Amino acid sequence: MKIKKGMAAGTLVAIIITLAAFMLIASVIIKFMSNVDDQQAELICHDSIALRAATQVDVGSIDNAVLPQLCKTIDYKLVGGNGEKEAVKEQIASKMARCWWMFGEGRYDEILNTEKLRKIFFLAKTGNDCFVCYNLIIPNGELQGQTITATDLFAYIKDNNYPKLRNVTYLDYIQYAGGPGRVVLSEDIKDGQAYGVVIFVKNKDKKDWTGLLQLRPELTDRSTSVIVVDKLDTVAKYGCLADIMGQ
Amino acid sequence: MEGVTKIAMYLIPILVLVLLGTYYPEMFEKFKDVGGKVQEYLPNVSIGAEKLQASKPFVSEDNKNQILSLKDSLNKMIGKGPCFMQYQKFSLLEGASLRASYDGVNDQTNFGVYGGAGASQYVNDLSFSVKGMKLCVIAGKDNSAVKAFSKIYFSPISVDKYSAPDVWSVRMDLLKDNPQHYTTVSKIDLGYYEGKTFLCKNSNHIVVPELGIGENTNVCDNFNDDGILYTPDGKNICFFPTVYGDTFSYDKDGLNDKYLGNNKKDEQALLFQLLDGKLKRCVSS
Repeated sequence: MKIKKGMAAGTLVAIIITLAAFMLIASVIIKFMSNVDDQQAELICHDSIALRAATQVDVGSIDNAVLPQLCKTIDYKLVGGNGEKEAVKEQIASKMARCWWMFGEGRYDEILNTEKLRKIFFLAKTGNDCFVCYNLIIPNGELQGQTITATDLFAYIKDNNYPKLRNVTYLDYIQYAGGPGRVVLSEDIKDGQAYGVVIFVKNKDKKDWTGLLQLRPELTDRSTSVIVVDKLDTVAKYGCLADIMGQ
Repeated sequence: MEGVTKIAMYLIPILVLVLLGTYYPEMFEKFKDVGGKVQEYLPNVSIGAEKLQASKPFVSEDNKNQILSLKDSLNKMIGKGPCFMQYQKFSLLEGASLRASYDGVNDQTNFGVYGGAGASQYVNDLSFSVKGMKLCVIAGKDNSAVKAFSKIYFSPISVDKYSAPDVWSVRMDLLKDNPQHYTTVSKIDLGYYEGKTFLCKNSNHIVVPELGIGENTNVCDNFNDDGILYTPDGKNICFFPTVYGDTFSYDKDGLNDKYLGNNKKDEQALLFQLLDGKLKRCVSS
């Protein structure tokens, strides 16, 4: 009898220690993430995605990435430079490419997907397999009342080279430098507005991302991963996964 | 003594295996067979996500040639008109799509070509713009545009009756009386439609968002234009959405495709008239 009681107590202590350790580690990571600068946050996100992909366990048809993604949505203020549209376009293109890079350049499908594992444990789906990399804010007057149309911005990313690769445009980088990707620019860029740079990760099944058919029908094709620039209030309706800070 | 026991514990199984392998080698083959069969039922387990590697997006050679033909024809139509032009009719646009939109700032129509994965990736090399072009369709919010077009180009014409030098002159007089025989639009999408029902086969598909054409998923096979384009004025260049039916008919969504094809049963079909020299070509072949 004494031995049995001892064992039960020992097991309980082990569980409590494990939980406490997990909570301690999680709080350290969250606190750390809240204090890191943007470049560090991007690196941590990129590395956590790479590690998550490297440690993904595939059992039969079930692919499960067990490590969490350590990514946070970064706020970024676009600088117009006296109404210089080119400067703003360059910054947006740069953030689109950076978001693509952070999430493995489209090389891993299913990388944000936890649906199969959640189904096994009867847990509700947390959201669409998308992530808001950046909140881009254009302060009032930065563009001096000018508008960058979606057509203009698309022309910029297809005609201008991505600085980190030789002779590769921003569009080429996203479309085929890594895995298959594409770009969707949903709105014109205007003064005093906020936009999200979002990545939708390609998943193996071809079902629509939930709730997007009416909102953004151009996003329902899941043949590729997608980098989207859209108004922030529309992005809020995408139902993307929360970041490490819970936002 | 304990050491000897341990050595014996390792040696005895090894000795047994060696003896079995020497005198009963077929047993290992059986184990191998059974092991192999069991493995078939076990799930594959692997660590690490598979890496995807994309390639530069492209479209099929056929579609590429047809797109280039379309580009050439459109450019030749600018500044001419009213007239018709033929381009190399699209085969099934499986793996390709075109999105045309009018750019009012630069007064041109941009044709984005998409291919690659899901026909959704931009193909820079094939995309083009046509300066001075506006987009139009022979369709409308109601059937008045299509009705007017039919009146101009499908009414049987007797040259003697009209005391006219030729059929085309009569048609031009009819055109003056029916100027609203096309609808200017700002956007057109051409693509492939995978038939989802027995009645809707795999086909090419046109979508004109402003007129709601092609957006209903029950509408299929609505781009059987036989490679014909029309310009009323050398600026608006019109595509032909089509509707399906057994008889010559039209509605707001376009002409019955029998009006366009080289239908030898009816001399009024556009392609028949074009080949017969009864319709003016923008560029004489």
